Amino acid sequence: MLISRFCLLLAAATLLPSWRPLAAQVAAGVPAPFDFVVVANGTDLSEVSVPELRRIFRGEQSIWPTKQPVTVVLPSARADFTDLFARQALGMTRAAMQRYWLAIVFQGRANPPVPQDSAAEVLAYVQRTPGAVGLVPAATPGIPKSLVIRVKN
Amino acid sequence: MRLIGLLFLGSAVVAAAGRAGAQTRQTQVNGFGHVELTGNREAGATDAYFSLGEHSLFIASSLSSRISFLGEYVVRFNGASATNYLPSIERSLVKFSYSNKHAVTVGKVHTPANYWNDSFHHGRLFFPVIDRPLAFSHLVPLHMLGVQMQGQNLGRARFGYDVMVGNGIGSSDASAKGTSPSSLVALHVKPHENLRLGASYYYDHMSKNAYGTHSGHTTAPSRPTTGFYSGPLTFQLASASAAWFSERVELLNEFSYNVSGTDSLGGARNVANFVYLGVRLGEHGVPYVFGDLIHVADNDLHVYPLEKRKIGVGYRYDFTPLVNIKAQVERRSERNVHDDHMNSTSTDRHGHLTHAFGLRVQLAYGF
Repeated sequence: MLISRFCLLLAAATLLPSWRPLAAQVAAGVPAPFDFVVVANGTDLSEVSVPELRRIFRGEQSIWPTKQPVTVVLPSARADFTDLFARQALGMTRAAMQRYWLAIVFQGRANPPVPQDSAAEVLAYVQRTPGAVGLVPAATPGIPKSLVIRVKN
Repeated sequence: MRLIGLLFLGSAVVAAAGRAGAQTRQTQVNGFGHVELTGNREAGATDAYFSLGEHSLFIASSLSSRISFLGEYVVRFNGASATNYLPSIERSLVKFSYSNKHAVTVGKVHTPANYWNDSFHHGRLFFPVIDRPLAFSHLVPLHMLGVQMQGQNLGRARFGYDVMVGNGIGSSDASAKGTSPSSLVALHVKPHENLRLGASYYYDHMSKNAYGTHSGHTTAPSRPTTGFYSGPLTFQLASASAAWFSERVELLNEFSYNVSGTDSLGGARNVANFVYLGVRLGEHGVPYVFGDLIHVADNDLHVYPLEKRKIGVGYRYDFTPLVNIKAQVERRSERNVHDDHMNSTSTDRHGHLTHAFGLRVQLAYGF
């Protein structure tokens, strides 16, 4: 009896402060600024919306309209833009992104992503792999125009 | 920390750069395991001990642009083994994605009956609490071996379906009695990125009632050791799940309603429910509470009469996405109808309600 009362008390105490951030999070949707350039190979897409992009980087698309399989390229923990990538592309922290991908691969719901250690490596991988898609910081030098997909506002 | 992070998105993904034509094959190999410290107080006796939990090797590989393989091999405690551990193939499946959001799978899968079985199953690293819900030891068909049609992320509500036909709860991975396969239909929607609502219906008709390899992982099954009913039995399970997992709040409710029917005793109506609430504090910590119960009717001849409840409070700390520790205090209650039933033909449900308290600490890891 004592434990069950304690559980109820704890539940109430933890739920109340979480309610406002949760509501704000739901209402906020996708963050407005986007500091990345989308690069992809063999997709036939010229532009993509931010919600569509988020679905791609959440592993929810497996095949492009060109019938190429989607290969998601993620920045590894060694890359210097992983935190920003996780926040802007997925709306998560880096740790949450890692937990998310580990879980959906483990569930068999998505193919393993390909980690790359830098923007240059993301570009090189996408360039040589049909179906690959990644994000590189907008300031990255030498982004081939043929790989760029415009982000719709 | 940083090193483990590197392992996750670095070496854990083995870019087996075998290029077949224009495709690059990706193979990811992971292992999961856990160690526990348990303190129990029950019937005046107190025990405290360490235990080594299930260890799972997990492999996911893209075999071609449309075909992928997934395997999971587990070594777990089993008193029947000379070494106390036995290996098992928990999943082994080949998936053909014939379109962007639809696929057909052949092999042994985790039965997608509810959120827990579909999402967590063997990886204690993913478990929000220390144990599986009670229903997993008794009611939920954990695995199916057969053919599965799957769709996901369809439309704005991100509707998904799983339809499966295969060997059921009374079967093994090598054979099954009779010609009637088990079948499952599971539907879910994800109207928000963090929300998943699902329901499923599972049907299995056994010409000879049996407890097969797909029934559960408990080392102490509830069936009687002698006089186990072996006639025909129809097993139906309806499940409903609601899961909200955001960076802040984690909420899960798993409901199961089972009807286990025989010609002699009719339909036994059984119910189980698990509820969990956790709130992430900062990046690493999640205090949580949970409640769990299962009730199996007196006339049940598959699981046999059973009544258990469990409530608990705990704290999970994620060191990294690949290492966490959970500390949990729990109170377990069990009505002692089960022994009465096993030792006689009595179905007296007025046995003693026994209580036990446990303090458990679990270190779960992936590598």
